[in-house]
Amino acid sequence: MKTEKYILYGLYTALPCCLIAIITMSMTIRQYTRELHSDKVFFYKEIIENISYLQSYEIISNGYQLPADFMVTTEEGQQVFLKDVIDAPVLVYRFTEEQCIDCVEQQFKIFSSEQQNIPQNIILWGSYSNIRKIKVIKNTFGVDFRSYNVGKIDIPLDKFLNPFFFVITPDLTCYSFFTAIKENPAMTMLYLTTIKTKLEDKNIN
Amino acid sequence: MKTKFLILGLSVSLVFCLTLIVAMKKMIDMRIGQLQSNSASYYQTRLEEISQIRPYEWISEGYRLSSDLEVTTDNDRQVLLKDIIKVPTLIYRFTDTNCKGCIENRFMLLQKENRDVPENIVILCTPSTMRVLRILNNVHGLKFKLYILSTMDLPIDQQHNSYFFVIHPDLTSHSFFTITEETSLKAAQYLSIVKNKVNMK
Repeated sequence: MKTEKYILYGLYTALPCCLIAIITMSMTIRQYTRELHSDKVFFYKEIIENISYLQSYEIISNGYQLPADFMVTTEEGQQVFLKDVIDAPVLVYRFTEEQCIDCVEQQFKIFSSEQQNIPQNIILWGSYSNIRKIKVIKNTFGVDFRSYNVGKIDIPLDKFLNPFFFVITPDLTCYSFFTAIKENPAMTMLYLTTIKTKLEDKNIN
Repeated sequence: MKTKFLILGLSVSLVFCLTLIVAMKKMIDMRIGQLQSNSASYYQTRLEEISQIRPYEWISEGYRLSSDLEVTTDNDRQVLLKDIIKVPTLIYRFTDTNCKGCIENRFMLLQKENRDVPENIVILCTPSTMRVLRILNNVHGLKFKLYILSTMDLPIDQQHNSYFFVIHPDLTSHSFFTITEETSLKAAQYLSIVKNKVNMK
C-alpha cells in the first residue's frame, strides 16, 4: 500500500514536469519554424540567388569588346563613334527605358548623395526613345555626368531588366561588370568605391 | 483496486508524454539543422562573405600581367608565362592551404568537368601545393599542366582563396571567380560558363 502511494506521488510529480517540457518544446519549435519562414530569410535568400544568377552573365560579359564602329548619340543629338569619346578607362552606368524606374533611379540617388566615394568620370548610357528623357532624370537628381543614348548592345548582360555597371577602355573592351540589385544598395556602393580605387590606381590599370 | 487503475492510467500518460518529448526533441534537432543552413544569419554571413570576395574580382578584372612573369615547370625550368599562353586559357590558381582534402576536391572538380584534359587549362600553384598536385596528377593519370608561381601581381592573389580566371595571349585577365566553401556561384557552374570562352572540350 505504501509502495503504491510512492508510485502515485512519483507519477503526480513526473506528469506535470513532462507537460511543462512539452509546452516549452512546442514553443521552441514554433519559434524556429517562424524564423525559418521569416521575411528576412526570404529577403537574403532572394538577394543571394539573384547575385548568383546574374554573376554568371557578368562572367560571360567580362572581356567583351564592342565593335570599333559602335555609335552613340550625344546630349546634343549628334551621332559619334564611341571610340572618339573614350580616352581613358571609364565607368559606364547602363540603364534602359524598359527597366523599372525605381531600379534605375536608385543609382542616381547614390550618384547624387555619395559624390565623394564614387568615381567622378562615370558616363551614363541610356536606351531611351529620346535623349531628353535621360536629361530629365539627370536634372531630377542633380547629376552632372556625361550621358549618351545608346541602342541595343550585344553584351549578354544587356538582355536583363536590371541596370548594370562596367568599365570600358579606349580599345572598347568592357570588364568588371556588376548588376545593381535594388534590394542590395550596399553592394552597389561597395562596387563603386572599389572601382573608384581601381580607376585611380595607375598600377592596377 | 482504484489506486491500481490510477497508477496504470498515469503510467500510460507518462509513457505517452515521454514518447512525445522524444519526438519533439528530434523535431527540434531537425529544425536547428535547417536553421543552420537556412536562417537569416546564415544568409547574412554568406552575403558578407560575397561582399569580401567580390571586390578582389572586380579590381582584378582586365588586369594585364607582366610579360616578364616567369613560372617554374615541373622539371624546375624557368619559362615566361607569355610563352605558354598561346590561346585564351583557363588558369586555376591554387593558393597555399593546409587542407589537402580541399586541394583534392578542387582538383577533382576540374578533372570531372574536363575528362579529356584540354590543352587550355593551366594550373598555377605555390611551391607547397605543387607536391600534392603532382601526386594527384599521377594518381589519377591526368595531364594538367602544373607550374609554380609563388606570388602574382594580381590584387586577387592577396586573399587566401583559390580562384579561376581566363587569361589571353596578351596576358590580360578576365572572368575571375573565387572558390570558397560557399561562393554564390558554384565552381562547376563557373566552369560550364567559361567553357565557351576558352573553347574547352
